[in-house]
Amino acid sequence: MDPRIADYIRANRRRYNRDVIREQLIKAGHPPADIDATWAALDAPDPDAVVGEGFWGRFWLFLIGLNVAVFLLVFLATGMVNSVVLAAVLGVALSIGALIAWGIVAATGPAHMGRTTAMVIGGVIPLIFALLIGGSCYALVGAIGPPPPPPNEGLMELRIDPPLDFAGSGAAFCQPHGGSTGFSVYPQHELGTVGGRPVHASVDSFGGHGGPEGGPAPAPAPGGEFAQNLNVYISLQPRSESDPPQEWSVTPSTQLDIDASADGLSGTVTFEGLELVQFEAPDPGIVDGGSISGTITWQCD
Amino acid sequence: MAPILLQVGAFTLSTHDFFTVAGVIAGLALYYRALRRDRVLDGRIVLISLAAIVGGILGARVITSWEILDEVSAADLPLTYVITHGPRSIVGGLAGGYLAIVLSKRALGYTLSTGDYYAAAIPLALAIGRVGCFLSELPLGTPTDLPWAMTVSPEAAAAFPRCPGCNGPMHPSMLYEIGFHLAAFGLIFTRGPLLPIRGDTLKAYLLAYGLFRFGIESVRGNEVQAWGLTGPQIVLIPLIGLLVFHFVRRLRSGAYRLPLPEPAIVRGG
Repeated sequence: MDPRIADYIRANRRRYNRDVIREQLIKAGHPPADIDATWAALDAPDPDAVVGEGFWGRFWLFLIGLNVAVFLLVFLATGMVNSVVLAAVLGVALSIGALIAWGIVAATGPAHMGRTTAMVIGGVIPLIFALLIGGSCYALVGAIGPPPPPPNEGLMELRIDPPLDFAGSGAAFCQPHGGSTGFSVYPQHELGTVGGRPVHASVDSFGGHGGPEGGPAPAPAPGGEFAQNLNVYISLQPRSESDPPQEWSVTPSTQLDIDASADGLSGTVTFEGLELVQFEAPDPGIVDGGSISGTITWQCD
Repeated sequence: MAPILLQVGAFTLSTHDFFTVAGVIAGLALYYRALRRDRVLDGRIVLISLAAIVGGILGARVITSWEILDEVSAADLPLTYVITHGPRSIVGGLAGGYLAIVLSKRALGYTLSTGDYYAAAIPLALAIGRVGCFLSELPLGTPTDLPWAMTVSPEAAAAFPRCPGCNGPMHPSMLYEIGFHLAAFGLIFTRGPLLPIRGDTLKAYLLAYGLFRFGIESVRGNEVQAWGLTGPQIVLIPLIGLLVFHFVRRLRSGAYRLPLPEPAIVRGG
Protein backbone atom coordinates (compact mmCIF):
# COMPACT_ATOMS: atom_id res chain seq x y z
CA MET A 1 0.00 0.00 0.00
CA ASP A 2 1.53 3.30 -1.11
CA PRO A 3 1.46 5.57 1.96
CA ARG A 4 1.22 8.72 -0.15
CA ILE A 5 -1.89 7.42 -1.88
CA ALA A 6 -3.30 6.26 1.45
CA ASP A 7 -2.63 9.63 3.10
CA TYR A 8 -4.28 11.52 0.26
CA ILE A 9 -7.33 9.27 0.33
CA ARG A 10 -7.64 9.52 4.13
CA ALA A 11 -7.32 13.31 4.00
CA ASN A 12 -9.99 13.81 1.34
CA ARG A 13 -12.37 10.82 1.34
CA ARG A 14 -14.75 12.27 3.90
CA ARG A 15 -15.31 15.44 1.85
CA TYR A 16 -14.84 14.42 -1.78
CA ASN A 17 -16.28 11.66 -3.92
CA ARG A 18 -14.29 8.56 -4.67
CA ASP A 19 -14.22 9.08 -8.44
CA VAL A 20 -12.86 12.61 -8.11
CA ILE A 21 -10.12 11.54 -5.69
CA ARG A 22 -9.16 8.66 -7.95
CA GLU A 23 -9.05 10.96 -10.96
CA GLN A 24 -6.73 13.40 -9.18
CA LEU A 25 -4.39 10.58 -8.16
CA ILE A 26 -4.29 9.26 -11.71
CA LYS A 27 -3.50 12.78 -13.00
CA ALA A 28 -0.62 12.89 -10.51
CA GLY A 29 0.77 9.78 -12.13
CA HIS A 30 -0.26 7.10 -9.67
CA PRO A 31 -1.18 3.76 -11.29
CA PRO A 32 -4.93 2.97 -11.12
CA ALA A 33 -4.16 -0.52 -9.82
CA ASP A 34 -2.22 0.92 -6.86
CA ILE A 35 -5.02 3.37 -6.16
CA ASP A 36 -7.68 0.64 -6.19
CA ALA A 37 -5.57 -1.64 -4.01
CA THR A 38 -5.07 1.15 -1.47
CA TRP A 39 -8.83 1.88 -1.41
CA ALA A 40 -9.55 -1.82 -0.83
CA ALA A 41 -7.06 -1.94 2.02
CA LEU A 42 -8.55 1.15 3.64
CA ASP A 43 -12.08 -0.25 3.24
CA ALA A 44 -11.29 -3.65 4.77
CA PRO A 45 -13.66 -4.40 7.67
CA ASP A 46 -12.39 -4.47 11.20
CA PRO A 47 -11.83 -8.19 11.97
CA ASP A 48 -12.88 -7.55 15.57
CA ALA A 49 -16.36 -6.47 14.46
CA VAL A 50 -18.11 -9.85 14.36
CA VAL A 51 -21.51 -10.84 15.63
CA GLY A 52 -20.51 -14.20 16.95
CA GLU A 53 -21.65 -17.74 16.29
CA GLY A 54 -25.33 -18.59 16.19
CA PHE A 55 -26.28 -15.13 15.00
CA TRP A 56 -28.73 -16.22 12.31
CA GLY A 57 -30.52 -18.60 14.61
CA ARG A 58 -31.10 -15.86 17.16
CA PHE A 59 -32.03 -13.39 14.43
CA TRP A 60 -34.73 -15.64 12.92
CA LEU A 61 -36.09 -16.49 16.34
CA PHE A 62 -36.41 -12.81 17.17
CA LEU A 63 -37.81 -11.82 13.76
CA ILE A 64 -40.45 -14.53 13.57
CA GLY A 65 -41.33 -14.30 17.24
CA LEU A 66 -41.83 -10.53 17.12
CA ASN A 67 -43.96 -10.70 13.97
CA VAL A 68 -46.14 -13.47 15.37
CA ALA A 69 -46.59 -11.50 18.60
CA VAL A 70 -47.61 -8.35 16.68
CA PHE A 71 -49.96 -10.35 14.48
CA LEU A 72 -51.69 -11.97 17.45
CA LEU A 73 -51.93 -8.67 19.30
CA VAL A 74 -53.57 -6.87 16.38
CA PHE A 75 -55.65 -9.94 15.46
CA LEU A 76 -57.20 -10.20 18.90
CA ALA A 77 -57.36 -6.51 19.86
CA THR A 78 -59.09 -5.28 16.69
CA GLY A 79 -61.63 -8.06 16.31
CA MET A 80 -59.96 -9.31 13.16
CA VAL A 81 -61.00 -12.82 14.19
CA ASN A 82 -64.19 -12.16 12.22
CA SER A 83 -62.38 -11.41 8.96
CA VAL A 84 -60.02 -13.96 7.45
CA VAL A 85 -59.28 -11.58 4.59
CA LEU A 86 -58.06 -8.78 6.86
CA ALA A 87 -55.99 -11.22 8.89
CA ALA A 88 -54.41 -12.52 5.69
CA VAL A 89 -53.63 -8.97 4.55
CA LEU A 90 -51.95 -8.16 7.89
CA GLY A 91 -50.01 -11.42 7.73
CA VAL A 92 -48.80 -10.60 4.22
CA ALA A 93 -47.82 -7.07 5.26
CA LEU A 94 -45.78 -8.33 8.21
CA SER A 95 -44.20 -11.07 6.07
CA ILE A 96 -43.06 -8.57 3.46
CA GLY A 97 -41.56 -6.42 6.20
CA ALA A 98 -39.79 -9.43 7.68
CA LEU A 99 -38.38 -10.39 4.29
CA ILE A 100 -37.08 -6.88 3.77
CA ALA A 101 -35.48 -6.91 7.23
CA TRP A 102 -33.77 -10.20 6.46
CA GLY A 103 -32.67 -8.86 3.07
CA ILE A 104 -31.09 -5.78 4.60
CA VAL A 105 -29.22 -7.72 7.25
CA ALA A 106 -28.10 -10.36 4.74
CA ALA A 107 -27.00 -7.77 2.18
CA THR A 108 -25.17 -5.71 4.77
CA GLY A 109 -23.55 -8.77 6.19
CA PRO A 110 -23.65 -9.57 9.88
CA ALA A 111 -19.94 -8.91 10.08
CA HIS A 112 -20.60 -5.23 9.31
CA MET A 113 -23.19 -4.66 11.99
CA GLY A 114 -23.47 -5.41 15.65
CA ARG A 115 -25.94 -7.91 17.04
CA THR A 116 -28.03 -5.18 18.59
CA THR A 117 -28.24 -3.28 15.32
CA ALA A 118 -29.29 -6.38 13.42
CA MET A 119 -31.98 -7.19 15.96
CA VAL A 120 -33.27 -3.60 15.92
CA ILE A 121 -33.52 -3.76 12.13
CA GLY A 122 -35.35 -7.06 12.41
CA GLY A 123 -37.87 -5.46 14.72
CA VAL A 124 -38.24 -1.98 13.28
CA ILE A 125 -38.63 -2.69 9.57
CA PRO A 126 -41.59 -5.07 9.84
CA LEU A 127 -43.30 -2.61 12.18
CA ILE A 128 -42.73 0.29 9.77
CA PHE A 129 -44.10 -1.85 6.98
CA ALA A 130 -47.06 -2.84 9.09
CA LEU A 131 -47.75 0.84 9.74
CA LEU A 132 -47.44 1.74 6.07
CA ILE A 133 -49.54 -1.10 4.73
CA GLY A 134 -51.49 -2.13 7.81
CA GLY A 135 -52.54 1.44 8.43
CA SER A 136 -54.02 1.58 4.96
CA CYS A 137 -55.67 -1.77 5.53
CA TYR A 138 -57.11 -0.62 8.85
CA ALA A 139 -58.48 2.45 7.13
CA LEU A 140 -60.04 0.13 4.58
CA VAL A 141 -61.93 -1.76 7.30
CA GLY A 142 -64.75 0.70 7.07
CA ALA A 143 -64.68 0.62 3.31
CA ILE A 144 -64.38 -3.09 2.68
CA GLY A 145 -67.56 -4.51 1.39
CA PRO A 146 -69.26 -5.19 -1.90
CA PRO A 147 -68.60 -2.74 -4.75
CA PRO A 148 -70.94 0.26 -4.74
CA PRO A 149 -74.10 -0.11 -6.81
CA PRO A 150 -74.31 1.69 -10.15
CA PRO A 151 -75.61 5.29 -9.97
CA ASN A 152 -79.30 6.11 -10.40
CA GLU A 153 -80.35 8.67 -12.98
CA GLY A 154 -82.56 11.62 -12.19
CA LEU A 155 -82.82 15.39 -12.19
CA MET A 156 -80.97 18.10 -10.28
CA GLU A 157 -82.13 21.69 -9.79
CA LEU A 158 -79.85 24.46 -8.61
CA ARG A 159 -80.94 27.88 -7.41
CA ILE A 160 -78.42 30.53 -6.34
CA ASP A 161 -79.59 33.74 -4.69
CA PRO A 162 -78.53 37.20 -5.94
CA PRO A 163 -76.05 38.67 -6.72
CA LEU A 164 -75.13 35.59 -8.80
CA ASP A 165 -78.87 34.93 -9.33
CA PHE A 166 -78.96 31.59 -11.12
CA ALA A 167 -81.67 28.97 -11.64
CA GLY A 168 -81.03 25.88 -13.71
CA SER A 169 -81.52 22.14 -13.88
CA GLY A 170 -80.26 19.09 -15.69
CA ALA A 171 -79.91 15.34 -15.73
CA ALA A 172 -78.03 13.99 -12.73
CA PHE A 173 -76.63 10.84 -11.12
CA CYS A 174 -77.35 9.75 -7.55
CA GLN A 175 -74.59 7.45 -6.29
CA PRO A 176 -75.13 5.65 -2.98
CA HIS A 177 -71.85 4.85 -1.18
CA GLY A 178 -71.32 1.12 -0.89
CA GLY A 179 -70.58 -0.36 2.52
CA SER A 180 -71.45 2.76 4.52
CA THR A 181 -74.10 5.42 4.78
CA GLY A 182 -73.84 8.38 2.46
CA PHE A 183 -74.35 9.33 -1.13
CA SER A 184 -73.16 11.65 -3.90
CA VAL A 185 -75.29 13.63 -6.33
CA TYR A 186 -73.75 15.24 -9.39
CA PRO A 187 -74.98 16.44 -12.81
CA GLN A 188 -74.35 14.54 -16.02
CA HIS A 189 -73.82 17.82 -17.87
CA GLU A 190 -73.94 21.53 -17.07
CA LEU A 191 -76.98 22.86 -15.24
CA GLY A 192 -76.93 26.11 -17.20
CA THR A 193 -74.54 28.95 -17.82
CA VAL A 194 -73.59 32.21 -16.14
CA GLY A 195 -71.88 34.68 -18.42
CA GLY A 196 -71.12 31.89 -20.85
CA ARG A 197 -69.58 29.71 -18.15
CA PRO A 198 -71.07 26.26 -17.57
CA VAL A 199 -72.40 25.72 -14.06
CA HIS A 200 -71.81 22.48 -12.15
CA ALA A 201 -72.79 21.45 -8.64
CA SER A 202 -72.41 18.41 -6.42
CA VAL A 203 -73.60 17.19 -3.06
CA ASP A 204 -71.62 14.59 -1.09
CA SER A 205 -72.83 13.14 2.16
CA PHE A 206 -70.54 10.96 4.29
CA GLY A 207 -72.05 9.03 7.14
CA GLY A 208 -70.02 9.02 10.42
CA HIS A 209 -66.53 10.55 10.33
CA GLY A 210 -65.44 9.25 6.95
CA GLY A 211 -64.23 11.53 4.23
CA PRO A 212 -62.44 11.18 0.92
CA GLU A 213 -59.04 9.55 1.29
CA GLY A 214 -56.10 11.88 1.22
CA GLY A 215 -58.00 14.87 2.56
CA PRO A 216 -59.67 16.01 5.76
CA ALA A 217 -63.21 15.00 6.63
CA PRO A 218 -65.67 17.77 5.70
CA ALA A 219 -67.23 19.83 8.45
CA PRO A 220 -70.31 18.21 9.96
CA ALA A 221 -73.62 19.69 8.86
CA PRO A 222 -75.38 21.50 11.70
CA GLY A 223 -78.54 20.35 13.39
CA GLY A 224 -80.03 17.08 14.48
CA GLU A 225 -78.89 14.09 16.42
CA PHE A 226 -78.01 12.26 13.23
CA ALA A 227 -76.09 15.07 11.50
CA GLN A 228 -73.97 13.79 8.64
CA ASN A 229 -70.74 15.15 7.15
CA LEU A 230 -71.81 17.11 4.13
CA ASN A 231 -70.01 18.73 1.18
CA VAL A 232 -71.59 21.11 -1.31
CA TYR A 233 -69.53 22.23 -4.27
CA ILE A 234 -70.51 24.67 -7.03
CA SER A 235 -68.32 25.72 -9.92
CA LEU A 236 -68.31 27.94 -12.98
CA GLN A 237 -66.18 26.24 -15.60
CA PRO A 238 -63.65 28.22 -17.63
CA ARG A 239 -64.26 29.23 -21.18
CA SER A 240 -60.54 28.99 -22.07
CA GLU A 241 -57.15 28.37 -20.47
CA SER A 242 -56.75 32.03 -19.58
CA ASP A 243 -60.15 32.05 -17.91
CA PRO A 244 -59.74 30.31 -14.54
CA PRO A 245 -62.69 28.45 -13.02
CA GLN A 246 -64.51 29.75 -9.99
CA GLU A 247 -65.56 27.39 -7.25
CA TRP A 248 -67.46 27.67 -4.02
CA SER A 249 -67.24 25.12 -1.25
CA VAL A 250 -68.03 24.54 2.41
CA THR A 251 -66.04 26.28 5.15
CA PRO A 252 -66.53 26.23 8.94
CA SER A 253 -68.80 29.28 8.68
CA THR A 254 -71.11 27.76 6.05
CA GLN A 255 -74.67 26.98 7.14
CA LEU A 256 -76.11 23.80 5.63
CA ASP A 257 -79.55 22.30 6.04
CA ILE A 258 -80.30 18.96 4.42
CA ASP A 259 -83.57 17.13 4.01
CA ALA A 260 -82.93 13.92 2.08
CA SER A 261 -84.22 10.37 1.92
CA ALA A 262 -82.16 7.73 3.67
CA ASP A 263 -80.97 6.28 0.36
CA GLY A 264 -80.00 9.71 -0.96
CA LEU A 265 -82.15 9.38 -4.08
CA SER A 266 -84.09 12.54 -3.34
CA GLY A 267 -83.61 15.58 -1.22
CA THR A 268 -82.96 19.27 -0.81
CA VAL A 269 -79.91 21.04 0.54
CA THR A 270 -80.13 24.69 1.55
CA PHE A 271 -76.74 26.39 1.79
CA GLU A 272 -75.83 29.79 3.14
CA GLY A 273 -72.33 31.24 2.99
CA LEU A 274 -70.65 28.89 0.52
CA GLU A 275 -67.23 30.53 0.19
CA LEU A 276 -65.34 31.34 -2.99
CA VAL A 277 -62.20 29.20 -3.38
CA GLN A 278 -59.06 30.78 -4.80
CA PHE A 279 -56.60 28.29 -6.31
CA GLU A 280 -54.59 30.79 -8.27
CA ALA A 281 -54.27 34.55 -8.50
CA PRO A 282 -57.65 36.23 -7.97
CA ASP A 283 -59.59 37.02 -11.13
CA PRO A 284 -62.33 39.65 -11.27
CA GLY A 285 -64.60 36.97 -12.81
CA ILE A 286 -68.29 37.31 -12.59
CA VAL A 287 -68.83 37.43 -8.87
CA ASP A 288 -67.02 40.10 -6.88
CA GLY A 289 -65.61 37.61 -4.30
CA GLY A 290 -67.60 36.65 -1.25
CA SER A 291 -70.04 33.85 -0.63
CA ILE A 292 -73.22 32.53 -2.20
CA SER A 293 -76.46 31.02 -0.90
CA GLY A 294 -79.23 28.96 -2.44
CA THR A 295 -80.67 25.46 -2.71
CA ILE A 296 -79.99 22.22 -4.54
CA THR A 297 -82.86 19.80 -5.12
CA TRP A 298 -82.62 16.37 -6.68
CA GLN A 299 -84.83 13.44 -7.53
CA CYS A 300 -83.50 10.14 -8.88
CA ASP A 301 -85.27 6.96 -9.88
CA MET B 1 -58.81 7.09 -12.98
CA ALA B 2 -58.04 3.85 -11.19
CA PRO B 3 -58.04 4.45 -7.45
CA ILE B 4 -58.51 0.73 -6.83
CA LEU B 5 -55.70 -1.38 -8.30
CA LEU B 6 -57.09 -4.75 -7.38
CA GLN B 7 -60.34 -5.94 -5.88
CA VAL B 8 -60.86 -9.59 -5.07
CA GLY B 9 -64.04 -10.11 -3.14
CA ALA B 10 -63.80 -7.99 -0.03
CA PHE B 11 -60.07 -7.30 -0.41
CA THR B 12 -59.15 -3.97 -1.97
CA LEU B 13 -55.66 -2.80 -2.92
CA SER B 14 -55.39 0.96 -3.27
CA THR B 15 -53.45 2.19 -6.30
CA HIS B 16 -51.84 5.09 -4.47
CA ASP B 17 -50.61 2.98 -1.57
CA PHE B 18 -49.27 0.27 -3.87
CA PHE B 19 -47.17 2.68 -5.92
CA THR B 20 -46.01 4.54 -2.80
CA VAL B 21 -44.72 1.35 -1.25
CA ALA B 22 -43.24 0.17 -4.56
CA GLY B 23 -41.41 3.48 -4.89
CA VAL B 24 -40.01 3.25 -1.36
CA ILE B 25 -38.82 -0.32 -1.94
CA ALA B 26 -37.21 0.53 -5.29
CA GLY B 27 -35.49 3.57 -3.84
CA LEU B 28 -34.20 1.66 -0.83
CA ALA B 29 -32.90 -1.15 -3.01
CA LEU B 30 -30.97 1.28 -5.20
CA TYR B 31 -29.67 3.10 -2.14
CA TYR B 32 -28.39 -0.04 -0.44
CA ARG B 33 -26.85 -1.22 -3.71
CA ALA B 34 -24.87 2.00 -3.96
CA LEU B 35 -23.75 1.76 -0.33
CA ARG B 36 -22.63 -1.81 -0.77
CA ARG B 37 -20.77 -1.04 -3.99
CA ASP B 38 -18.68 1.55 -2.15
CA ARG B 39 -18.36 -0.70 0.92
CA VAL B 40 -19.90 1.78 3.31
CA LEU B 41 -22.95 -0.34 4.17
CA ASP B 42 -23.02 -1.03 7.89
CA GLY B 43 -25.45 -1.15 10.77
CA ARG B 44 -25.40 2.55 11.61
CA ILE B 45 -26.25 3.65 8.12
CA VAL B 46 -29.14 1.21 7.97
CA LEU B 47 -30.54 2.73 11.16
CA ILE B 48 -30.07 6.19 9.66
CA SER B 49 -32.05 5.17 6.57
CA LEU B 50 -34.85 3.86 8.78
CA ALA B 51 -34.90 7.20 10.55
CA ALA B 52 -35.14 8.87 7.14
CA ILE B 53 -38.26 6.85 6.30
CA VAL B 54 -39.97 7.72 9.57
CA GLY B 55 -38.93 11.36 9.21
CA GLY B 56 -40.26 11.41 5.66
CA ILE B 57 -43.62 9.98 6.69
CA LEU B 58 -44.03 12.54 9.48
CA GLY B 59 -42.71 15.42 7.41
CA ALA B 60 -45.11 14.68 4.57
CA ARG B 61 -48.05 15.15 6.94
CA VAL B 62 -46.83 17.80 9.35
CA ILE B 63 -45.69 20.34 6.75
CA THR B 64 -49.19 20.61 5.30
CA SER B 65 -51.06 20.39 8.59
CA TRP B 66 -51.46 24.16 8.83
CA GLU B 67 -53.67 24.08 5.71
CA ILE B 68 -56.42 22.19 7.51
CA LEU B 69 -56.02 23.22 11.17
CA ASP B 70 -59.07 25.51 10.99
CA GLU B 71 -61.25 22.78 9.51
CA VAL B 72 -60.06 20.17 12.00
CA SER B 73 -60.74 22.53 14.88
CA ALA B 74 -64.18 23.47 13.56
CA ALA B 75 -65.10 19.81 13.15
CA ASP B 76 -63.95 19.12 16.73
CA LEU B 77 -61.53 16.44 15.58
CA PRO B 78 -58.35 15.53 17.54
CA LEU B 79 -55.14 17.28 16.51
CA THR B 80 -53.63 13.93 15.51
CA TYR B 81 -56.15 13.94 12.67
CA VAL B 82 -53.80 16.16 10.67
CA ILE B 83 -51.21 13.37 10.86
CA THR B 84 -53.50 10.42 10.20
CA HIS B 85 -55.85 11.96 7.63
CA GLY B 86 -54.31 15.23 6.52
CA PRO B 87 -52.99 16.00 3.06
CA ARG B 88 -49.54 14.69 2.17
CA SER B 89 -46.68 16.56 0.57
CA ILE B 90 -43.63 15.23 -1.21
CA VAL B 91 -41.81 18.45 -0.33
CA GLY B 92 -42.57 17.81 3.33
CA GLY B 93 -41.49 14.21 3.00
CA LEU B 94 -38.12 15.21 1.56
CA ALA B 95 -37.61 17.89 4.20
CA GLY B 96 -38.63 15.55 7.03
CA GLY B 97 -36.41 12.75 5.77
CA TYR B 98 -33.43 15.09 5.38
CA LEU B 99 -33.87 16.46 8.90
CA ALA B 100 -34.18 12.94 10.31
CA ILE B 101 -30.93 11.95 8.63
CA VAL B 102 -29.08 14.95 10.04
CA LEU B 103 -30.35 14.29 13.56
CA SER B 104 -29.79 10.53 13.51
CA LYS B 105 -26.25 10.91 12.17
CA ARG B 106 -25.43 13.26 15.03
CA ALA B 107 -26.99 10.87 17.52
CA LEU B 108 -24.97 7.93 16.18
CA GLY B 109 -21.77 9.92 15.67
CA TYR B 110 -21.74 9.11 11.94
CA THR B 111 -19.81 11.82 10.11
CA LEU B 112 -19.42 10.49 6.55
CA SER B 113 -21.64 12.27 4.02
CA THR B 114 -23.94 9.75 2.39
CA GLY B 115 -26.33 12.10 0.61
CA ASP B 116 -25.12 11.17 -2.85
CA TYR B 117 -26.22 7.58 -2.31
CA TYR B 118 -29.76 8.90 -2.15
CA ALA B 119 -29.32 11.10 -5.21
CA ALA B 120 -30.50 8.46 -7.70
CA ALA B 121 -32.78 6.59 -5.30
CA ILE B 122 -35.02 9.52 -4.44
CA PRO B 123 -36.02 10.53 -8.00
CA LEU B 124 -36.64 6.88 -8.83
CA ALA B 125 -38.89 6.45 -5.78
CA LEU B 126 -40.74 9.69 -6.51
CA ALA B 127 -41.27 8.81 -10.18
CA ILE B 128 -42.83 5.49 -9.21
CA GLY B 129 -44.90 7.02 -6.40
CA ARG B 130 -46.24 9.76 -8.65
CA VAL B 131 -47.69 7.12 -10.96
CA GLY B 132 -49.99 6.22 -8.08
CA CYS B 133 -50.95 9.86 -7.65
CA PHE B 134 -51.66 10.21 -11.36
CA LEU B 135 -53.91 7.17 -11.39
CA SER B 136 -55.89 7.98 -8.24
CA GLU B 137 -55.98 11.69 -7.43
CA LEU B 138 -57.70 14.74 -8.84
CA PRO B 139 -57.37 17.41 -10.06
CA LEU B 140 -54.68 16.42 -12.54
CA GLY B 141 -53.86 20.08 -13.08
CA THR B 142 -55.31 23.42 -14.04
CA PRO B 143 -57.56 23.73 -17.11
CA THR B 144 -55.79 24.01 -20.45
CA ASP B 145 -56.38 23.87 -24.19
CA LEU B 146 -53.02 22.28 -24.96
CA PRO B 147 -53.17 19.25 -27.27
CA TRP B 148 -51.91 16.90 -24.54
CA ALA B 149 -54.50 18.00 -21.99
CA MET B 150 -56.33 15.14 -20.26
CA THR B 151 -59.93 14.71 -19.15
CA VAL B 152 -61.67 12.46 -16.64
CA SER B 153 -65.23 11.11 -16.42
CA PRO B 154 -67.88 13.02 -14.44
CA GLU B 155 -68.15 10.05 -12.09
CA ALA B 156 -64.44 10.22 -11.30
CA ALA B 157 -64.59 13.99 -10.78
CA ALA B 158 -67.59 13.67 -8.45
CA ALA B 159 -65.60 11.40 -6.13
CA PHE B 160 -63.45 14.41 -5.13
CA PRO B 161 -65.19 17.21 -3.17
CA ARG B 162 -62.68 19.75 -4.42
CA CYS B 163 -61.92 19.22 -8.07
CA PRO B 164 -61.49 22.55 -9.86
CA GLY B 165 -61.57 22.25 -13.62
CA CYS B 166 -62.19 18.51 -13.51
CA ASN B 167 -65.06 18.73 -15.93
CA GLY B 168 -62.76 19.87 -18.71
CA PRO B 169 -59.27 19.21 -20.10
CA MET B 170 -56.46 19.61 -17.56
CA HIS B 171 -52.67 19.83 -17.49
CA PRO B 172 -51.30 16.34 -16.67
CA SER B 173 -49.03 17.98 -14.08
CA MET B 174 -48.12 14.69 -12.43
CA LEU B 175 -46.79 13.40 -15.75
CA TYR B 176 -44.61 16.48 -16.01
CA GLU B 177 -43.23 15.65 -12.60
CA ILE B 178 -42.69 11.98 -13.46
CA GLY B 179 -40.75 13.11 -16.52
CA PHE B 180 -38.54 15.39 -14.42
CA HIS B 181 -37.76 12.66 -11.89
CA LEU B 182 -37.01 10.07 -14.58
CA ALA B 183 -34.66 12.51 -16.33
CA ALA B 184 -32.90 13.26 -13.04
CA PHE B 185 -32.65 9.56 -12.21
CA GLY B 186 -31.25 8.75 -15.65
CA LEU B 187 -28.64 11.50 -15.44
CA ILE B 188 -27.45 10.67 -11.92
CA PHE B 189 -27.59 6.88 -12.34
CA THR B 190 -25.55 6.91 -15.55
CA ARG B 191 -23.10 9.71 -14.71
CA GLY B 192 -22.62 9.05 -11.00
CA PRO B 193 -21.99 11.95 -8.59
CA LEU B 194 -22.26 15.19 -10.59
CA LEU B 195 -20.31 17.35 -8.14
CA PRO B 196 -16.99 16.59 -6.49
CA ILE B 197 -18.07 17.14 -2.88
CA ARG B 198 -19.96 14.35 -1.14
CA GLY B 199 -23.61 15.11 -0.68
CA ASP B 200 -23.73 18.02 -3.11
CA THR B 201 -25.19 15.95 -5.95
CA LEU B 202 -28.22 15.28 -3.75
CA LYS B 203 -28.45 18.94 -2.81
CA ALA B 204 -28.22 19.91 -6.48
CA TYR B 205 -31.07 17.53 -7.30
CA LEU B 206 -33.15 18.92 -4.42
CA LEU B 207 -32.50 22.48 -5.63
CA ALA B 208 -33.45 21.55 -9.19
CA TYR B 209 -36.59 19.81 -8.01
CA GLY B 210 -37.48 22.71 -5.74
CA LEU B 211 -37.27 25.17 -8.60
CA PHE B 212 -39.15 22.83 -10.94
CA ARG B 213 -41.86 22.22 -8.37
CA PHE B 214 -42.21 25.93 -7.63
CA GLY B 215 -42.89 26.52 -11.30
CA ILE B 216 -45.13 23.50 -11.85
CA GLU B 217 -47.38 24.60 -9.00
CA SER B 218 -48.86 27.15 -11.38
CA VAL B 219 -50.50 24.28 -13.29
CA ARG B 220 -51.06 21.82 -10.42
CA GLY B 221 -54.48 23.04 -9.36
CA ASN B 222 -53.59 23.40 -5.68
CA GLU B 223 -55.44 25.94 -3.61
CA VAL B 224 -53.82 29.36 -3.17
CA GLN B 225 -53.04 29.91 0.50
CA ALA B 226 -51.46 33.36 0.78
CA TRP B 227 -49.72 36.05 -1.29
CA GLY B 228 -50.93 34.37 -4.47
CA LEU B 229 -48.89 31.27 -3.64
CA THR B 230 -49.91 27.68 -2.96
CA GLY B 231 -48.86 25.83 0.18
CA PRO B 232 -45.95 23.98 -1.48
CA GLN B 233 -44.67 27.22 -3.02
CA ILE B 234 -44.65 28.93 0.37
CA VAL B 235 -42.74 26.02 1.92
CA LEU B 236 -40.28 25.87 -0.98
CA ILE B 237 -39.14 29.49 -0.67
CA PRO B 238 -37.03 29.01 2.48
CA LEU B 239 -35.86 25.56 1.35
CA ILE B 240 -34.67 26.86 -2.02
CA GLY B 241 -33.08 29.81 -0.26
CA LEU B 242 -31.06 27.53 2.01
CA LEU B 243 -29.83 25.43 -0.91
CA VAL B 244 -28.86 28.47 -2.99
CA PHE B 245 -26.97 29.87 0.00
CA HIS B 246 -25.17 26.53 0.36
CA PHE B 247 -23.94 26.49 -3.23
CA VAL B 248 -23.01 30.16 -3.25
CA ARG B 249 -20.90 29.55 -0.15
CA ARG B 250 -19.28 26.51 -1.77
CA LEU B 251 -18.38 28.45 -4.91
CA ARG B 252 -17.02 31.45 -3.07
CA SER B 253 -14.82 29.29 -0.83
CA GLY B 254 -13.37 27.37 -3.77
CA ALA B 255 -14.50 24.10 -2.22
CA TYR B 256 -14.88 22.44 -5.59
CA ARG B 257 -11.15 22.64 -6.27
CA LEU B 258 -9.67 19.41 -4.96
CA PRO B 259 -6.18 19.73 -3.45
CA LEU B 260 -3.46 18.22 -5.62
CA PRO B 261 -1.84 14.98 -4.46
CA GLU B 262 1.87 14.34 -4.32
CA PRO B 263 3.04 13.21 -7.75
CA ALA B 264 3.96 9.58 -8.22
CA ILE B 265 7.61 8.66 -8.15
CA VAL B 266 8.70 7.81 -11.68
CA ARG B 267 10.92 4.78 -11.61
CA GLY B 268 13.73 5.19 -14.12
CA GLY B 269 14.58 2.37 -16.37
